[in-house]
Amino acid sequence: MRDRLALELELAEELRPVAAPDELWERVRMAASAAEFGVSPRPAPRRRRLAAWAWASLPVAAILTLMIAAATLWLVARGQERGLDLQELAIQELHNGAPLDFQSNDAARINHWIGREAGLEPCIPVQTGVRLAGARVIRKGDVRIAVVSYRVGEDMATLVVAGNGTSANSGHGHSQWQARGQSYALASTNAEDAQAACRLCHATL
Amino acid sequence: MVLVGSERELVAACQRGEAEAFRELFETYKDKVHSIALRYSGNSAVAMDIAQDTFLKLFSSIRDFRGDASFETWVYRLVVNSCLDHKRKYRRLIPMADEVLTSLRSSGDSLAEVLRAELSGLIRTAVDRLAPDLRIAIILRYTEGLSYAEISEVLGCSPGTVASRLNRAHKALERRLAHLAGKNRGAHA
Repeated sequence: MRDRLALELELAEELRPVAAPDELWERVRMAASAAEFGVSPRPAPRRRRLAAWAWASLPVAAILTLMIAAATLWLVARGQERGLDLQELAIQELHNGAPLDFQSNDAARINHWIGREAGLEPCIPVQTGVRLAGARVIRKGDVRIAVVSYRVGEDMATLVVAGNGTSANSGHGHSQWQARGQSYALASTNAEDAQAACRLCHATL
Repeated sequence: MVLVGSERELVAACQRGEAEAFRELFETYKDKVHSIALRYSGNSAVAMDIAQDTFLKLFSSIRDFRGDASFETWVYRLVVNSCLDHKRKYRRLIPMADEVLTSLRSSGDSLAEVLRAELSGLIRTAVDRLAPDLRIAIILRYTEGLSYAEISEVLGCSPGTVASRLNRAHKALERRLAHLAGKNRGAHA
């Protein structure tokens, strides 16, 4: 070898590409099959194994799903019962624009209607310091709740009455309380004078 | 055959797991892979093992190909890694058997052919004795005809490193084959 060019020519000749033997494909194919992914798509056997596993576990998964769903529904229902917040409900009803079920400005008629429809005794005084609008009865689960709507001056107010078992502060003087085996809550659009809503029963306030 | 308009579509078909696409990809690259494996190992049996390993790696990992480099470069990297991973003992023992077979095959030929066969065997032996990183650079250069830049991309080093390795390989080969100058001229006569 006298120079680099001669060497490169020899290298190009001696290291020239060669055709692959025909049996190479068969070897690759066999080795691929042995390795389980094959020349055919590798995920295929995995999919089959996954499918078999999925089918076998399907009944168990279905039962578990039903149990979880039932438990969730039970907990939600239970939570709704126990967590019924009359104060929150009073605020919701204050802004409920739907027509009242019973429209009247007569306290005695409203008391009678609520007693008949909900089995409750709101005991609204006949001599009240507010302008009564009427009432409606709503249901929360198995609980029937009476809603009395009225005006105090230019403000709207709502009294909600429910049987005991709903959450309410026990002390009268709050916006929610319990008395005579019933729970009560008030809500008013007059944020500056919330006690104004109490004139429903306490006309002299 | 899978109807593919380009290599990208062929690779995509393989990534989707289409069996015929694998075969087409094999047909496309089998000669390149086998040539590099054969020139690196110097032995046909070992070359078959390396080529087989390379295609198994290719088929099993083609979903990982993201197109950051060209697919051909990716294939080159696979075969280079297979070569470098292959057991060193095969490289040292079996090439000698090939040289013996080459000599036996050429025993009945003319003097020029005998000299040529002897020269071929000695050149291949000299290449076999190069360090792996120098040998693979030589093979990518002379078997595949890659440029310095392409070799650097395959090997993951700079073109300067490739130039350095090729220069060292050339010098080593020149030194080992210097005594053959006279025979070389005779073989080409």
